Amino acid sequence: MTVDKYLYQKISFFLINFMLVIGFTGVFLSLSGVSIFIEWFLGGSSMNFSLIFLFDSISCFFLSVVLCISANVVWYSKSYMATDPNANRFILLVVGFITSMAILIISPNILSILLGWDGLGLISYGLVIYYPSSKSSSAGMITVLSNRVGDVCILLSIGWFMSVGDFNFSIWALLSNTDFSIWVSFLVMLAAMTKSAQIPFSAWLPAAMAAPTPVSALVHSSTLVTAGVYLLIRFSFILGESCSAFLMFISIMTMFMSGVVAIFEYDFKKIIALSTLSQLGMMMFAISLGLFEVAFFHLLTHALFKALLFLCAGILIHGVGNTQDIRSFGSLSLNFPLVTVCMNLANLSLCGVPFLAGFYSKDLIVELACQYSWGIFILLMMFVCLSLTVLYSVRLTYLSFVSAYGGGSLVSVCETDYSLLAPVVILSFTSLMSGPVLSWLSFSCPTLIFLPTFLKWGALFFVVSSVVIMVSLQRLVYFYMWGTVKKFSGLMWFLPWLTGQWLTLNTLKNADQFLKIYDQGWLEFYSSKGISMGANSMSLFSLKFQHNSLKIHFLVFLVWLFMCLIYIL
Amino acid sequence: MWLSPSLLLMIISIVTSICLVISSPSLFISWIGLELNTLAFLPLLLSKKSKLASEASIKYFLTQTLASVLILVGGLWFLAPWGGLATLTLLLGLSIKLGAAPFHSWVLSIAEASGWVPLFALLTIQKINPLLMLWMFCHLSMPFFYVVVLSSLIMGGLAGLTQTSVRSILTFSSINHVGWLMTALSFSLSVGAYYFLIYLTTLLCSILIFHMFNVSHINQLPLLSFKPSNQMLLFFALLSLGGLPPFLGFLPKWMILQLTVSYSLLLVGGVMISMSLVVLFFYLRLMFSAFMMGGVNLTTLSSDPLPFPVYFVALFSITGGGLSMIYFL
Repeated sequence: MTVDKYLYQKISFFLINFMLVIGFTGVFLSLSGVSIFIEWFLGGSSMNFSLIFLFDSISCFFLSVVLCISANVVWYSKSYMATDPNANRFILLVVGFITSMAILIISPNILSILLGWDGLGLISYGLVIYYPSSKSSSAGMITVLSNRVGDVCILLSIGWFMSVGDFNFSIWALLSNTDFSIWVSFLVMLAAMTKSAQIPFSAWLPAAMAAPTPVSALVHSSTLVTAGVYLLIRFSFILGESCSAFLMFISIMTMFMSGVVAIFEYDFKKIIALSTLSQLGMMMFAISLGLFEVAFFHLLTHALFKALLFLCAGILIHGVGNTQDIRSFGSLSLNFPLVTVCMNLANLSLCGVPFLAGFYSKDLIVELACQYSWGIFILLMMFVCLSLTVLYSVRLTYLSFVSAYGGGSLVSVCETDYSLLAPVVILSFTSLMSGPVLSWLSFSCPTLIFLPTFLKWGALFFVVSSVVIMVSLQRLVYFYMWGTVKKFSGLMWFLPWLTGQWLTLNTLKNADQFLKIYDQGWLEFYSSKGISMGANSMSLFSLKFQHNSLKIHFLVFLVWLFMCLIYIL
Repeated sequence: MWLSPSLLLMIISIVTSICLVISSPSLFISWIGLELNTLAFLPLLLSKKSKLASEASIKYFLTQTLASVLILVGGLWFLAPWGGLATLTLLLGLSIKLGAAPFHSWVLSIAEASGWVPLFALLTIQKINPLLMLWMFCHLSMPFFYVVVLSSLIMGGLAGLTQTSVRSILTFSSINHVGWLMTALSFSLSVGAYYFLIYLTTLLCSILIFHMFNVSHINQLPLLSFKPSNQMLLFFALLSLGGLPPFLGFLPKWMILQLTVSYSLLLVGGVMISMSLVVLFFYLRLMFSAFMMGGVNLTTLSSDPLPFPVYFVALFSITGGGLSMIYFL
């Protein structure tokens, strides 16, 4: 039971207004090429400390996209969380999350980035453990600890910035002779990798689907995971050759892994999470090629249609009785026509079908990568990942909308709730228009692509052939073969186990030894207990002369006297 | 009791002995002052009228006489051309009189047997004469001086760790303070006098509170009055004695540490600091048992053991009457 009957609507309305203001500011700033710094200068003579907010075209666009998505998500969660008793906690966490993200976006100063970054990590933990079950609790733990590794990296780089002189990295972007060592770029890249769930740290993203669906739509599709990409875009001046090469390798592997795992996955939200992961890999790939503005553009469009995808998923999950297993979906297009349309829109734009949003951003990345490419293996892997994306998207669509219905019988498959549908429709319109609009706003002139014919047709060929392959696989051939591959991919290439149980088991064994033998054993003996025992024994020794015998006292005096006399003489 | 004619005569004799020692031109007159001091103090020890007290007074008399013999012999050796030997024997005798380590063993049994007022006099007033003579004759350049100072500091600290009687704790703390006092005197008379006066004040407050509550053992401390003001008073008095800032007892220690460091006597400074930690530990251990139990509940104000003037003494001895303002200068 909420405090105010119209609380969600009020929050959503406020966010929409804020988004419009920021959106128009962003358009104005991008057209005039101006950046606004708002600075609060604290401190007097000896200590100078300033809090700076940067309103750039990049930050204004990102902030307006985040606000648009969050406004829709808050409106959606009005009816999604209506039956939940802890809805107050939910809305507080969501508002806190949006605030942290806003702080992260508008700060050019690594200290306030840390504020937003840490806030994001903590609040996403609070949101993942929202439902009281052990699965949520372990998912939350792996989320917050993976994010914590990134926090540590940012803290270390703060120390580095302190030695260089200024926390505001927007200044360093303008200078040409920065003496940043390779460690700072490595640390920042590592922080971005943990937040955006690249290969060593990708265990948390599918696990975090234990959160409620609006949370997944807001947090895990568009804002939290894109914070890492945004950090790398802001720190574009710092990425050198070797870091870019490392990042390229990692992002290609992430794309490939998430694509393969998504084909064999049966949890609806996990498939969408893995598709987020593969798109994040695509963004990191673009960054490693040096295409920062294109990566940013893909970030924005992806945020919009991924949030749309999650919201539609929420409606479908509600519809088939709160189960997330895709085997109980099927033939839902008959009962959810509007949701089918929007979800298809989102999926097709994810695949990169021409003239939808994904085409403008993802296809641009692919074509520019063909131009900039680093080797044939990279190109091949990129096309393979493209086709993998199409494969799992088509599988998703087929299994939820086309195939035979596999769920229970006492369900309410209908779409009459307007406060669930309206955000979906709004987001679908926005994501439809966002592709061309953002590309006209971000790029002042179209990019020149100069490619041989087979590379130009390559993307489209891979997309179409993947559609054909998957449809035929679903209809004609049964997926019983490749048992080992299924197991391997089903456990997500054993990454969660590797970073979770195996690591903690070995570490805890060692930690037990350290605690019992060293800390509570020998260290106590040598440092605290030992010193007190030594002091006590010295004191007891000195008390041996305190016996109540005057003769002994005088003997001691005379012995000292004789010793001194002998010394002198 | 202390204004009865016999004890008044003894008190006046002690004051006379101090005047003798201060104003004497030669060592032998000072020796007379020391002897007068010893003899006049004995009835104060015997004021308690028990067998233990008479035993303590005999021990005191014998020890102090031995020390005076050594002082006299040392003084005589000045006339013969044995200068180094003379100062050594003189220092030895004075250390025995002071109760400085390694000649401290006699102080404990006497302290245990005497009442609170004689204990206070033993620990402070009886030290004035030997300290004055120390300032006159012995100097920092003697190696034996260092031996006495360092062993006083260390013995006072470490030997007090296993003590449970309040009197022995105060004894060992005074042995520690003798180390500080001797270093202070070796710099100049005014520094030593300053330290001595503040030591007297802080010790006065602590002993006054112990006397009022009639506490002799660490077992009796949990039975202190339930009023937090009384417990706090004792706590702060002990902390001031131990030399914790912002109390009064920190100021002379700070001064001496600064002098020690500026004269590059770093070993002495280091030992001073570490041993004051140990001393502070056993004060805190005293008060720990007092705070843990909470004490006896006193319901009527009239049976409060602390009369009102104690608070005035405490005010001056703990805060120095606002002397802590010196920190802000």
